[in-house]
Amino acid sequence: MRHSCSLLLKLVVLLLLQGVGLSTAHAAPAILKDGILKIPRVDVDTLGAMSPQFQFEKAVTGEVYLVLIKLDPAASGESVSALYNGKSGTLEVFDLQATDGTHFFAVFKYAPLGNVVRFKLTEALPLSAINTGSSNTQTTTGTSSGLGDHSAQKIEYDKKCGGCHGEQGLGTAIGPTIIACATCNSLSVLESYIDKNMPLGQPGSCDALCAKEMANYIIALNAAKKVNPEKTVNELSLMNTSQALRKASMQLVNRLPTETEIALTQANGEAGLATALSLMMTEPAFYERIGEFFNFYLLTDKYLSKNESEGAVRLLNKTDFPNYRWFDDGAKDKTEAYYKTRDITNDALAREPLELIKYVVKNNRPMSEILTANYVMVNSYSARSYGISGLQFANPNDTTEFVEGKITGIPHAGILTSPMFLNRYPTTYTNRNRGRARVVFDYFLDTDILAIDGARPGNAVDLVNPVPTIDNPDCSKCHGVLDPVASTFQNFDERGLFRPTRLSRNGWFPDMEARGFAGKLMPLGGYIDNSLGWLAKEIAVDPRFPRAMVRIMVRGLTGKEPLRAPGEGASTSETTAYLAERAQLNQIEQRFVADNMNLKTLVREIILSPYWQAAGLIDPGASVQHSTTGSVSLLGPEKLNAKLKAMVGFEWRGTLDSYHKNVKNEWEARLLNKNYFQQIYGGTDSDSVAKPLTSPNGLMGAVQARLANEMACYAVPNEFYYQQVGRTDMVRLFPFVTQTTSPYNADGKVNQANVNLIKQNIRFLHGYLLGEELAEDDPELRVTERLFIDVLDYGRASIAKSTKKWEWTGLPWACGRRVDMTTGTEYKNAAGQAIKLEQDPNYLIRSWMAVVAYLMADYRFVYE
Amino acid sequence: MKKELDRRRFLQVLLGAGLSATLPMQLTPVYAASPSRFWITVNAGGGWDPTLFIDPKGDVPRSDGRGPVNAYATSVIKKAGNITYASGYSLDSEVPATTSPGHFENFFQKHYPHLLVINGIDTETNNHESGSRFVWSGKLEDGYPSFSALAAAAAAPEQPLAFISNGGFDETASLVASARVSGSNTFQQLAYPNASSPSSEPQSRNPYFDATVYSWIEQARAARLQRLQQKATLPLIKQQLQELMTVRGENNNLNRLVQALPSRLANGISGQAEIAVAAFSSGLAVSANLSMGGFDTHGTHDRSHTRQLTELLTGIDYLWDLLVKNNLQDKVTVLIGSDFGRTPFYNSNKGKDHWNVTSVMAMGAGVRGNRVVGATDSLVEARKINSVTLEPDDKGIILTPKHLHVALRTMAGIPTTLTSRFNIQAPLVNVFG
Repeated sequence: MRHSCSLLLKLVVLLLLQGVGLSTAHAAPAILKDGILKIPRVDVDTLGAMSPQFQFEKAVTGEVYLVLIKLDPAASGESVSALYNGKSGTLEVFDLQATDGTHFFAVFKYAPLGNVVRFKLTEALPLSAINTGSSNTQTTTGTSSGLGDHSAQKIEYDKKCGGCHGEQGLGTAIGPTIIACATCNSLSVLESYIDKNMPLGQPGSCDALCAKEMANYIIALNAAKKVNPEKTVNELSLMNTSQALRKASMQLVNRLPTETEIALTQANGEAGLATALSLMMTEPAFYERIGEFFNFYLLTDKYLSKNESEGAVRLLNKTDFPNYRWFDDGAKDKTEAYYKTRDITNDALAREPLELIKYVVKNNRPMSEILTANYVMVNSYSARSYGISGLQFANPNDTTEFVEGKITGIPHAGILTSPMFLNRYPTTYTNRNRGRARVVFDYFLDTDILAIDGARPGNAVDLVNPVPTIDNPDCSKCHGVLDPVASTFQNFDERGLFRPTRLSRNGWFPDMEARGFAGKLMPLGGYIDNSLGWLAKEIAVDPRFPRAMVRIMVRGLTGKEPLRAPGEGASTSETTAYLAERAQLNQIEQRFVADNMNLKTLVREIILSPYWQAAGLIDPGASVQHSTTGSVSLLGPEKLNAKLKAMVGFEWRGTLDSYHKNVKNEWEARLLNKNYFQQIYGGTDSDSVAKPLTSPNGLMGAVQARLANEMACYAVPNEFYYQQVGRTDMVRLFPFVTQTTSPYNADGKVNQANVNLIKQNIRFLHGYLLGEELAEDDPELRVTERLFIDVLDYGRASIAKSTKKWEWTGLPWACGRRVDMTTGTEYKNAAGQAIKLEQDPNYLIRSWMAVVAYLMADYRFVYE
Repeated sequence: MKKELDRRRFLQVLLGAGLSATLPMQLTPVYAASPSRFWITVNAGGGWDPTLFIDPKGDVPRSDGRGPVNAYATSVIKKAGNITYASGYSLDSEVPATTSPGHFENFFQKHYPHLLVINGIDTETNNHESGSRFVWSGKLEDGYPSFSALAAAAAAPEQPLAFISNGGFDETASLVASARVSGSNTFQQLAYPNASSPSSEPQSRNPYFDATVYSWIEQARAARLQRLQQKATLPLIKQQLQELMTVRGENNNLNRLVQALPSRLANGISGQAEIAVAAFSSGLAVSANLSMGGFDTHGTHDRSHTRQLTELLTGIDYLWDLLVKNNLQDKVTVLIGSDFGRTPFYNSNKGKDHWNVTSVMAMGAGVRGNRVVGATDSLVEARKINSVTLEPDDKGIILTPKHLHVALRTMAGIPTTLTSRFNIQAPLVNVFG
C-alpha cells in the first residue's frame, strides 16, 4: 500500500518522540514529496557518494519503510545529508523535510525483503524540538551549528570508537560514555590519551592526526550534548548532616556516632561530617568493611576455615612451601590448641589479598599498590607457612597484626600473584589463564570482555581455523584484547604456584598472543619471569583502574553498582539518569585520582555526594530518571548482626542467660551461621552462593519477625535487669524509665510525670533504633504510644481478672534474666540472694517488649 | 539503531514511573492461580557430557584423528525402551556400585518409561555464564528470567517460597523473589516466629507474646509499612517498602512446610529435592532450582564426570521417588540440563573442554516419556530435525534452548503478558508432549 506519507510520518513521530531534540545543519535536506524521499548525498562504502531516492511504504503491521527505487551518484560538491553505516545497516538522515515543511532527524534500519532494498523507520525526532524538550539533557548530533561540520569525523568515530563508546557516545557494556567523562573537557589531555591508548588494544590504528580529530569530535559532541547534572541532582531532597552521620557511621564502622562526631557535625555541617568520616576511617571496623566490599568481587573468603577446613592451607604444597603445615607436629591426637592454630594460620592465608587492600588503605597509599605491591601481607602464623622469617611483629600473638613480607624467589605483584586470587580464579591447560585475564579486566579495569560486540561463530567451537583466537576475526575481536593479558599469567601455574618461564620445560603456548596489555607488548628485559609485575604497573596508570575502584566502592556503599551505559536505544530519562550519575562519579573519580588514589578520599566523596545522601524526590516528575537513586539497601545478615550488636549490645545467639557459654564456645551468631539464618537471610559463602539477596522473600520476612520478637524478649528485660543490679553502663534502650515507671498510679489514676517519661523514651527509641528525628507531636509517636498503652491495659486487665495470677505475671522463661550476660555469674543483693528478673507484675516490661518488637521489625531497622 | 530495550532497564523505567506497586502486587490478581502445577530444574553446573550416558558414541576413532568421542566400548551402548544409553563405564571412570540408583544401568532401566531425552541442542556458546543463561532462560541475552522464576511469577508470586533457588542461573527479572533454603533445618523457628520452643507441641511452644498482643504488634508493623510507603517519595525506597509489604503481607504458612519436611534433611541434590517437594505439597512453592556443580572437567574427565553423574542421577532418582510418594509425579515437570556439552574428544590432560551441543532430560507432568528427540552425528554436531515429526531432517531446524522454552512456556500456560514482555522468537516445536 503506497500513499503520501506526511501525515503518517507525523503519527510515527508522535509515537517515537522521546523529548530529545536532535539538530542538524541542513544545507542539503532530504526532501519528502509525493511519497518520494530524495537524499542529496549519502556516503556508502565501496560505492562512494550517492544520491538515492526512496518510496515510502507502510506495512499492514504499521511499520514504515523506505524502498529504494533509484540510486545515482551524488552531485559534485554536494554536502553529506545522511550517513549509512554498513556494519550496523543504519541510515541516519540528518534533515528530513516533510511535505508540510516540518523537519525531522530520522533513522532507518536496513530491512531487505527478498530482492527489494528497503529500510525500516526506527526513530524520528522533530528538529524543532531542539532546546525545548522537557528533558534537562539536550542532545544534539550530526552536523548542526551546535556540533559544527563533523560528519567526516563522525564516520571515523563510528568506525573506530562507536563499537565501545556507542554511536551517540553514551557508552556500552564494554566502554564508558564519552559524554561528561573525566578527560572530556581538555582537548590536549583527551588527544594525548586517545593517541596512546585508543582504540583499546589497537592504538596504532588511530595515529596522532586521528587522535586529534577524534578529540575534537568528542569535545564538540560534549558541547552539543549540554549535560546538566545539577538539575538532575536538584530534583532530590537530601538527608540532613546528622542523618548522614548516623548512616555513615553504621555503614562504615557498625556503630552509632560518637559524641565527638555528633558535635563536629552539628558545629560545622558538611565540613564537620567530613572530619567525622576521617575519624571513622581510622578504626579497624572500617578496614573490615573495606575488606567486605572487595570480597564481594574477589570472593577469596571462600577459603576461610568456617567455609572449608584448611581451605587456604591446602592451596599451598610441600614442594614450594615446605613448612606450609607448620602447626602440625604429626601427633596423632590433636589438641584444641592445634585446631585453633591451624584455623588462625588458614584464615591469615585466606585473607592475604584482603589484608593487602586494608593495609594500603590504612596507610593512605595509592590503591594501585594492591596490584603493584612487591610483598605479601602476613601475620606471624601465615609467615611460617610461607617460610618467611626475620619479620618484626609488635606482638607475634596478635593474629590481627599483618606486616609486609617477601617470599624468597617469587616476584610479587599484589593481588595478581596471590595464591588465593589465582586459585579462586583457576585456569586449565586449555583455558590458558583467560579466565584470570577476564577477571582482571572486570575488577581492575571495569571492562566486561564478554560484552564485546562480536558474533560468535555459528558453531561456537571453531575446528577449521588453525588458531581461531588469532585467525578467526569473530574470535580475535575479544581474544586479541584478552589473550595478551592471559599470557602475562604464564609465570603462575594452574594452582597459582610460581613457575618461572625460563625454567619452563615446554615454554608458553606458541599459538597464544604474546604478553602485553592495551596494544603494548611486554618488554622481556627484566620481566620475563615477572610479567604480572609488568601488567600491574600498566594497569596502575590506566585511567580505567580508578574507574574500577569507583565501581567497587559505589557498590559497597550504596548496595548497587553504578548505572550501566544505557546504549543507543535508551530513553531520554535513562540517558539523563546515566549521564547525571556519571558526571557525579567522574568528579568523585577525579578527586580520588588527584589525592593519589587514596581510597579514603573516594569513600568520603561518595558519602558526601547527593546520590548517597538522597532521601526523597522534590520533583515527582523526575521519578523515572531517579528510579534507582539512593543508597538505602536491605542489610545483609552480617550487617544486621553488627547493627544488633551496636544497638542492644549483644548478638542474636539465644537466651542471654546462656550467652556467655555461646560466646565462649565460639559458636557463630545465628545471622552468621550458615546452618541457621545466614544463607536463608541472603548471605553468601563466597563460593557456591556468591550473590547476596538484595530483596527480601517470604522466608526472610519470617526471619525479620522472629528476630524482632526474640531480640525484644532478650533486650528489654536485660536492660531492666542491669538497671536493677546497678549496671547502668549496660543500659541503652531505656534511659528515661525503669521497670516500674507506670502511667498509672496505684489507685489507677494517670501519673502524668511518668506518662511524660514514657513518651520521652518512646521518642528516644524511634531515634535510637530507627534514626528518626521526630517532633514531639509527630503522629508516629502517637501510634507507638497507643501500642504501649493498649498492651499494658490488656495485660493489667488480664492479670486483674485472672484467678491464676502467676500465669499472667511471669515473664516468658526465655526472656527472664538471672546471670550476667558476659560472665554467667549471679548478682547478689545485700542479703546475699541472687537477683533475678522473672516477674512482670504490672505488664510493663512486656509492653515495652511489644514496642521494641514493633520497632525492630521496621523497614528502617532492617534497611539502612 | 533503536535497540530493544534492555529488560532490566525497562523494569527500572516502570518502577521509576511509580508503578512499583503494580508489579508484584498486581501480578497476583492478574496471573494468580492456586499452585497446582510445579516445576523443578536440575542444573548440572559446569557443562555436562551427554555422550557419557544419554547421547553415547563409544570408542570409535574419529575420522579427523582426534581420537574417539568416548573411552568406553561401543558395546556397552544399550537401549531401555526407546532410550539409548551407555550402560557401562570406561576404565578411567569412578564406577558406582552396581546397586547404586545412580548407576546408568539402574537409572535408565527404572526411569525410561517416563523419561524424555532431548539431544542435539545447540547452545551457540561455550561460555559458562552465557550457556547457563541460555539453557535456563531461553535467551542468550541477559535480563530474562529463568523458566523457574517465570513459572512462579505466572502461578503464585505471592507465595513465600514461590521460587526456591539452590544456585545456578536464577535470574528473576524482579518478577518474583527467589528464596534460598539450602542447608538449613530452621524452618520451625520461622514457621512459629512468636514461639520460644517452636519444635514443641502447640500448647508448649511458649510464646514470647500473648496471642492477642502479638496480633496487635503484627497489625502495627503492617500499618507502619503502609504509612512509610505512602510518605516515601524516592522511587527506590517506595519499591523497597512495597517489596517488604508483599513478603509480609500474607500468612506465610511455613507451618505447613514444617509438617511436610522430614525430621532431618538429606545432603546435596536429595536434600534440595526434599525441601522442594515439601514446599510443593504444602502449596507454598511453584518452582525450584536444584543445583550441583563439578561438571567442568577439563582434566581427568571420565573419573570426575562419572562421579558427578552418579551423584546427579542418584539425586534425580530420589527426587522421583519423593514425587511418587507424594503423588506429585503428574503435577511436577522435571528438567535436567547443563551449561552446554563437552568436546567430542579428549585433550592432553584426559579432560574435555567446552562444546556448544548439549542434551536435556525431562520427566513428569506434560512429558511423554520413553522417547529420544533430536540427535547428533558421530562428531556430536547437532542434527537438524523436522519441527513437526521431530525426526532428523536435513531441511529441518537445529534445536536450541529457544525452542525448548517456547514449548515449556506453552506447556506451563505462561500468559502472553509475560511472554511478550520476555519474548523469545522461535516457532513452537512440541518436544515434550
